[in-house]
Amino acid sequence: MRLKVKIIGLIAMLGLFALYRSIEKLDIYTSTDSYCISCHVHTSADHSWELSSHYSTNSIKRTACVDCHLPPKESIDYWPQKIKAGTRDLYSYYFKDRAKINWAEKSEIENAVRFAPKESCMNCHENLFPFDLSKKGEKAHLYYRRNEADLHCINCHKGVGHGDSKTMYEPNTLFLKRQENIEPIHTRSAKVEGFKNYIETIPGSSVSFDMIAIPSGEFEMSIYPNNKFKHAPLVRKKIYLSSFFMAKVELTWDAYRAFLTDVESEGREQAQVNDSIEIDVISGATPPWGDPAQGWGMGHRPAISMTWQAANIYCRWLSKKTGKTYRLPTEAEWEYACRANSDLQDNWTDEEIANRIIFRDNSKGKTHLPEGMKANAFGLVNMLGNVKEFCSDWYADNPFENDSFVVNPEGPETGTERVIKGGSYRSGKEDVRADYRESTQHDKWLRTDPQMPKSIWWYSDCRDVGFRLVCEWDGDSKKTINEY
Amino acid sequence: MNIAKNARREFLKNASTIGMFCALGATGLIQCESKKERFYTYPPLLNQAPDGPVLRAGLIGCGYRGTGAVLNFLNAGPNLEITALADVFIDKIELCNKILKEKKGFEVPQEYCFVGFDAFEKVLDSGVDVVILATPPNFRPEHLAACVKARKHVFMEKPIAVDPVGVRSVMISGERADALGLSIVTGTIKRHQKDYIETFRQVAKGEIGDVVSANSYYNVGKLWHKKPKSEWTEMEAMIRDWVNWCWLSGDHIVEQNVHNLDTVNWFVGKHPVKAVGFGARHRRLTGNQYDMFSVDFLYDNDVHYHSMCRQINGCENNVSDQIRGTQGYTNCKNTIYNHDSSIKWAFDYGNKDQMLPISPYDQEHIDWVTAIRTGQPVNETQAIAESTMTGIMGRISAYTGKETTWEEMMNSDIYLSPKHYSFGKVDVDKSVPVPGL
Repeated sequence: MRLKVKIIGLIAMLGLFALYRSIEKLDIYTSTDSYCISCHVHTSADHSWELSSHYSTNSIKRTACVDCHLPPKESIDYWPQKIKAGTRDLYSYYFKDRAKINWAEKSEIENAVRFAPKESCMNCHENLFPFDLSKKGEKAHLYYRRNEADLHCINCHKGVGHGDSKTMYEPNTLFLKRQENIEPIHTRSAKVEGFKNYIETIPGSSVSFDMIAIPSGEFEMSIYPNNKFKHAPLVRKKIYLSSFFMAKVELTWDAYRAFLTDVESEGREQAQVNDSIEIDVISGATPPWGDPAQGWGMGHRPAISMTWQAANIYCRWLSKKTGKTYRLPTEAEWEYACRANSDLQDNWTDEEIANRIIFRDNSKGKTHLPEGMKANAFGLVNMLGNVKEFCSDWYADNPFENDSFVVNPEGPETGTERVIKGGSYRSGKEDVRADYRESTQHDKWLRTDPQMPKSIWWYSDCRDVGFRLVCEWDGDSKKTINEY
Repeated sequence: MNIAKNARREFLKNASTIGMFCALGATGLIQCESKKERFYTYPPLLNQAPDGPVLRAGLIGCGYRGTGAVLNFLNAGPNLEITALADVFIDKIELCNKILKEKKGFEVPQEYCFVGFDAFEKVLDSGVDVVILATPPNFRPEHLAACVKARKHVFMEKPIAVDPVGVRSVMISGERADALGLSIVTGTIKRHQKDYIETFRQVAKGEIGDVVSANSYYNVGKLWHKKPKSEWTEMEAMIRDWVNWCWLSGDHIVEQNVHNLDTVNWFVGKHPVKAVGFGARHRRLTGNQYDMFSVDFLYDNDVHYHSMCRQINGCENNVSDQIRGTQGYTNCKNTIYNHDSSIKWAFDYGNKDQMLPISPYDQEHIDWVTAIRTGQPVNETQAIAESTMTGIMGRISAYTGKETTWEEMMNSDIYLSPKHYSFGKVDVDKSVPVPGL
């Protein structure tokens, strides 16, 4: 009897040992690069990895897939994550249409952090302050050290694992010089003769853009709780708007760079913003901490990454340059222009949406040139897509009191964040609506900026918001509520 | 030399270690503002450092405190030697050697006595194992960076900088020292006093509840001053009179009051995020410093800390701290009180005179040498850097009359020292600050 127990015990132990060894072997086998690549659903991943600084490293060790994409082996998360990742990949391999997976979206910082645990970076890069670290690196790493809970290595070091372009940070002097300097050709701004479309030209630059005359009119604006459009709206509001001009496309990098070049400031001194209306001098934007164009190219692509304040100062600068009154649209103006009386996207087919706007399904994770997109009934392009757009209003969940209608509303008198409207290259189909509204998130969008004061010019963590110019038209007298 | 792994990170990695240490009561756990928990590791507080291979120390800065620090170091245990001296003035080295001769019966040979602004480099090249930094604090960031680069353990006197640029440099050197397993102990002696430590332990386990406010006082008479002599250059006159010049000492809110700032930061478990302060200069005879400060510091959870310091003779003196909590209050030093001022807990000194068995000045060196010899690195750099920055934040608020924030300090480019050190005219701001301009 005792012998039997002993034998059973021995067999059990041998069995356990064999199981342990086979799991160990299995782990080693399933952790090789060749195993990952053999069925990995992301077909370009291995190629972009081979191009990256983590393939051809300075050390004798090449970084393997599992080194970055799984927690370190000592971590208690290792096995759960390994099983999860393996199951997910197998499922995608057998059941998903791989052509339809949006890799660009998955590689955006917000998603990428989920596929590369920070402790894996730290497992190799334990020493954040090597003696040969640059001054700028010291500053950034000290900032990281004191804000570790909010930051991931790839907030700054994106692209080191896949791809040959490092999204490392360069000063804006380079950023401005990166593109060829086109000789300035415009000597004067456009003359507006009557309420019709015109082409604005920025003096001292080669930049011109179309301004569309938006006729006065009224529309009904509905504010929904948290953009839940199936719920009853918080308020419906009849709104009357006077005529104004609005830019056909979102402000382009060319047009934004004209401003940066004109007011360029070297170095890090804090910009002085003169708040009086009669401004004589606008001090220049400080350099961005990073490439604000994300390496996607500039030209006619919409300018992004600027703060609301910078966009506002841009309008003042342009007003001074052109002698007109440029500003950001109010929320009501924006929505009115977007709707263009009848142009509601509710009835659009999928194809129609794709023809009209850059959104998640056709953007490949970045902004696009506006050319070729179908305009709305007013002649405005990409109102609902490519990038979200700043409005001049302070944000409030419900900005209207219960009046029956309002004329030219400008939003609450005070607030902490501003309204942004429209969708972007990252928005899903369900969010590209004229009545979709959000607010800026100032602190969150400056999370990775290690400078202090944090930049007032550039958001370090916002890549999908730009703005569209409005020019005031004083030609017809504005109606007041009494006249209405 | 011991190249241990980053002790703090290793420590955090190992969950079971944390459990064990907490069970043993060896580690204080304090909530920190960034949702992280901050651990406080108590020094071992031995009566003597353990024996080991000879540790040769170099002293950089041979003034009164430097000389004292060397004696404290030699008292700390067996096989400790002082083998190199550095100062900008030869007379300071000679006086230091004279005291060494009197008290310890030996002198550092001439060829290991280095004079000049670059003397610290010569000390690092002279074969020392450890370094004691005791110059005026404006030199500390540069000296510490050089010591860490040379892989030397460091004992450094407080404070560790006079401006935000210096503090950040020290923070980075501290990180590097962590990675190299170097031990850095600073002259904030209260962290090496058993009475304070035991009181902290009570507070850390919640004896006063949640902190609601703090007060501290460093109100004393004037320190000293030296009037310039005709044969001195401006640089020499300033350095010999260093406790009166902001660019050298950081003003007394940093230079002296840092003891209290450090105690309160330690007990509260974080640094303040804002300061509004004022100060004035009434009686000081030389230099450009104030002689009184009163600063309202604010921690992130709306806890106010009022810190007062003065260096004027003939006034009411008081050097003490008080931290109030929801369940009582403490003097930080040795007693926990109930709200009605009755004593809830008091540290037992075991003697009538309420004396610790070892002088805290010796104790900090015992703890430093113990850390080095047992291969369990201690690095107090971040704590003293934060406390120094706290003082700088209060000073700048008093000087300007404006509110100053921690974030501003962490990114401020304020740098007070001249670009190059040489005996002659000194290119620094010598004016007395006027607030509200």
